[in-house]
Amino acid sequence: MNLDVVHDSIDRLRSTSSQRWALALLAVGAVGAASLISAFVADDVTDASVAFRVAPIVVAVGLALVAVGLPDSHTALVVLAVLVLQWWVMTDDPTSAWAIPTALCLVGFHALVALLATTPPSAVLAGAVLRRWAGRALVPVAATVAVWGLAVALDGRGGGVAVVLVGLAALAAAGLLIGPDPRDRPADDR
Amino acid sequence: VTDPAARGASAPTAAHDQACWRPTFAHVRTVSIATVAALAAVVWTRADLLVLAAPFAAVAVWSIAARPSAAPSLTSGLDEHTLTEGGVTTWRATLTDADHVDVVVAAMPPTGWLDRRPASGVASSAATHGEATVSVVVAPTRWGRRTVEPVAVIATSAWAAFRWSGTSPLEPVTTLPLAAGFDARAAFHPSDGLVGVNRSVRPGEGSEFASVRPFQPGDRLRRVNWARSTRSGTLQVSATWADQDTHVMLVVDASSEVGRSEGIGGRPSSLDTTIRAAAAIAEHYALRGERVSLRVLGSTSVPIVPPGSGRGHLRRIHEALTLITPPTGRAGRGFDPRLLHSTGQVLAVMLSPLVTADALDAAVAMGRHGSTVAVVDTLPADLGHRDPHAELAWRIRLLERRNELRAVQELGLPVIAWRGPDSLDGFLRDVARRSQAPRMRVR
Repeated sequence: MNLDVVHDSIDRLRSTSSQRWALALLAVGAVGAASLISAFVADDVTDASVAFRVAPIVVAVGLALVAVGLPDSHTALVVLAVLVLQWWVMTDDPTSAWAIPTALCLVGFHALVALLATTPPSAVLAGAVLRRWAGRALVPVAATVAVWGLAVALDGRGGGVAVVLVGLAALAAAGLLIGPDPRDRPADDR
Repeated sequence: VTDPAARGASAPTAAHDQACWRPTFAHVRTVSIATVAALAAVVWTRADLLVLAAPFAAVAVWSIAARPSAAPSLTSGLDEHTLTEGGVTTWRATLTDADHVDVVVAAMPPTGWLDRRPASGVASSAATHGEATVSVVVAPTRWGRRTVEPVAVIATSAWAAFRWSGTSPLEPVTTLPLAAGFDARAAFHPSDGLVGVNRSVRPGEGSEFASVRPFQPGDRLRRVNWARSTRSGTLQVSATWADQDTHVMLVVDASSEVGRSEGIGGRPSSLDTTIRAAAAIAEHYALRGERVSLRVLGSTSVPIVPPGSGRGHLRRIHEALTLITPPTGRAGRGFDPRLLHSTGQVLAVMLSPLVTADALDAAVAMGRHGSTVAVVDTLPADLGHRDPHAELAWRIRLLERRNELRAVQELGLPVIAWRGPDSLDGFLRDVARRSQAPRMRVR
């Protein structure tokens, strides 16, 4: 390996601010927590082996370490995909309350990596920025709890159909979001 | 930035790189996870997957709703472009028309001898009411002319979903040398001029009273001593001594730099001491009304500053000193014969570490040409050698240098180690005494 690359990496690690280390640690911790919850729930509902429970945790945390080192990349997307897949494979309770902390850990990891991607490693973010981001976290928390409450309320009363309907609505909304922004169109097309 | 003229700063310049808003990896991540998890929930009728998708869907909706529609306008600039070593100024960037902008980050790249605060050079700010300002404090630590490299300014929307980037233009910074402490209480060397603050040996126009004498044609009416004239019955005038100034010619040796400069707060190199001492001597004499000129050895980029006095002229000398660039290892360029021009009745102060023959040759030539020359030794006392071989070689060179300085002193040129205030007092007193005696000029 080229020694210059090693020295550059060491210099970059040394110049990394303590605030960034803390944010990265939180992000990796969120991934570990989400993966542990999935493994914990799997212990309840499946006859999973130790390797089956531990391997996803190691993979997720390892990828999370890479993701916080390369926040402006698709690595974090892979981490989230692994975690969602782990939950999907290991659990089969559609109304499990453990879905709430898992979802919050996932979105927390996403937000922290997004925040890390806005600045170079040596930067220290202003307190006002951190407070603003912390304050707006209430919205995804409320959305998560509301959807979970809806799922529990509809469970056993044609809940499957309700899930399909809600899911379709979500897909339609996502389609609208992914589509071109009307503000990008020329004025004549409006 | 909003009122640069009031602070003496240049007008802020608009950024030339106005890219549009682009989605980030974070936004792609949000939409992808929300879509895939919702799709899986529909296909496998798993409500728990919808719970996982819900926060991402909320973030995605918020991000889209708060997507900025137009590029903000960026203005940036330094509060001050000319500073003294150890001074501070602030680089500011302001984003206006920044609706839906959430966070603004500016990253200033490192530049030699310019400290940044915060030390990372990165500043962040939360935008409010469509406007955000980020600032980085810039503190030059060494004299010279430098530029603040283009600063990358990044703006992001809510949840860092969309990103806009701009770049500020280059900002020149002139760092004037911090004048070392200097004072001289001794008398000055007389010159040919009839202007200045020192009493001449000849009567003439001035402010210091000499005698009362009868009126002569040519005397000004304001010099008439009316009281004495009334008593004596003849018109009497108050005669004065002519005021006289000193022409101090600073000769700065920039052909070599010994020692490693650590900036204003650390150990100085020989060139640091030379520049700061020259600035101090110029400040002392120019502000007292003496004429000061500047010549630089070993640098063709620095113009000769002709004699002058006052604050404006002092600023001119200081700015000329900032044009000196540390040598890059080349040997001296030989003696400049222009040094002998107009060096008749001047006090020439040569500042040099005296490690090359060029400076000593120039000092000897000026002395033989009739100038009163003082050689100020600016070699640092401790160079902090760590290599024993380099230390030994340097000691041998110092022995040779001692012999060279002794030879110069035997020719009548004083070599004075720079000690800050009062460094030149002893020399100036000797000059004042010698000026009363007959002199012999060697041609």
